[in-house]
Amino acid sequence: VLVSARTALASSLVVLVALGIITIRNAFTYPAVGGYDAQEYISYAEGLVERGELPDSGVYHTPPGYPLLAGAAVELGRWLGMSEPEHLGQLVSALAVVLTGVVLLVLARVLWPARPLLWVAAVGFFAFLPIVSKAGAMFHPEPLGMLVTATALLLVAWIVRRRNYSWTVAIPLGLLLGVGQLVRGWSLWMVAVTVVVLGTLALTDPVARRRVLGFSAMVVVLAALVSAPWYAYQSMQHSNPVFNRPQPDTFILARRPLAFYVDARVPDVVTRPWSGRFNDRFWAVLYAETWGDYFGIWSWGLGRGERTDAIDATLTRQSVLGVLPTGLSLAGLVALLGLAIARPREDVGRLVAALPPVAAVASILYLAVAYPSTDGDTIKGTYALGAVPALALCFAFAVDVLARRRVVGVVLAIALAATAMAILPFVVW
Amino acid sequence: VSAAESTGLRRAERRWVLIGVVVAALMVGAQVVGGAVREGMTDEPSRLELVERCLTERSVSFERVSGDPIAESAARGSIRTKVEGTSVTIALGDSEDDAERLYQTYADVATPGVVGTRLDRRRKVVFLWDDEPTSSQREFVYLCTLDAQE
Repeated sequence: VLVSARTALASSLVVLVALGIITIRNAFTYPAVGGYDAQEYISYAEGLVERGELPDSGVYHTPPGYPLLAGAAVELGRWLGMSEPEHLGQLVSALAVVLTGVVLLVLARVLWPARPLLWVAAVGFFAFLPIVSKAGAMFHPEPLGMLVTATALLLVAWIVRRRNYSWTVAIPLGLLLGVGQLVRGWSLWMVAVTVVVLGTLALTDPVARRRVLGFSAMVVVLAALVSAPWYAYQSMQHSNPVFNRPQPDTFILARRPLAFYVDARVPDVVTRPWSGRFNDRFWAVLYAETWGDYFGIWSWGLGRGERTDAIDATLTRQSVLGVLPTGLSLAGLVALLGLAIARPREDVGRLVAALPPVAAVASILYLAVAYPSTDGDTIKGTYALGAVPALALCFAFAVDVLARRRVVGVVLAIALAATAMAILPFVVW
Repeated sequence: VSAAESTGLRRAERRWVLIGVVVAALMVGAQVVGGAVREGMTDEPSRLELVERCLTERSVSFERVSGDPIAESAARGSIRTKVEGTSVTIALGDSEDDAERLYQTYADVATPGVVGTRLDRRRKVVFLWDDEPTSSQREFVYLCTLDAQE
């Protein structure tokens, strides 16, 4: 055992405190209008809170959950006499990130209570993943969506471990899944993940099957009831309840070339990971934006100026630094999926970690193909932010298993600690 | 959970994680090989050729620089062209440091009033105009040298 439970818990809390300091600081230093569609979200939040109006253009497709909270925070900032009250809207994002980190720690302990190394590895991955820090600084709904999704995931994990199918659990889970829809439309995949996990429980536990099915029905109906008014409103007002642009008339698989799906654009994804280099390559844009700043909203662009050789070098370094954690996450994902399929009765909890990344990537892949854009705009890494806690669990699972060999564990610990230290300056704005 | 079950579980987890590591390595390896093949097969134009292509597409004539040792020392080459009636030498550095060297060398030998008016640098590209350019002329060369500025 490389670390004791006490050490792991203490280390995780230290990392979470550091994450809190960094993200809250970022929320006040990062320009309010710096994030994706930030001005539109600010207008949405102000219009909603001040006049009770939903927008009919821009980001009208975004549910009102975050704009409502952020708008109230901006109002509070005005009341406090702040010169830039929008920063309190960003603070909502920062707090959502920190709380998600706490939920992740609890989630890791619920799923794998006897694996302390896994807890700290999961929290470390989450805290140092640049897309988390970037989103946490923005006036943007994605971090709040991630918090709701992670909390729902925690409840699902708790159900798997306790086998508690009481209505007192079904109601909060159904509400969370419904509220998730009221924060970010594409967290719909979390409903699918919940249904698959509960379905697997029903299949593998004949004694409890009837109760699980009744429980699942209650959860789904409740989630639908909570989110239905929003979708109904969107359908009536804008015809498309999910997104703010029409789909092309062409057959869906004809909208992107084969290279879009299979070409990660090596070596450009490492040597030139910025906008314009590979807008029509799904994996390359997703990777470059997750580990670096493909779209120019963090280390270059608004608030930072144009790219320089130094910024280019930073972005290249970020792409290199992302290789090991990404590889370990992928290894953990394959392992958990493989184990879940090969040994389905042993531990349904593996699906709690393995399914969200698959479902989230499938959902943004659909988005990118259904609504193709020439600038890669619909392939943002933040669209998959809700799956980051689960991806962190996949990463941690691989690290935990590999580290059982002491030599491998020590080498991994050194390499990952060095990676985290090298990433640290990038996540501070 | 018995000790035997626990050992079996640990072995299964280890086996699957190793499979995962192999899958991840194969995916990275396939991308590296694919990228190398693509790079080898495609003849990507140089930065200078990209600038020339932009000028050609806009029917603007150009020529390689001769008789200007500063421009000729630019790592990515240099050209001379005429934009809306004003001639300009465009020198392409391979880094911001190289471009700064070119800029400073020009500045050292320039007559008063040239720096900041006729002499200009945009990241890795240096522009030396024969007469002070208009904003339209500047925008044109900035646009045509976008790839070279990186």
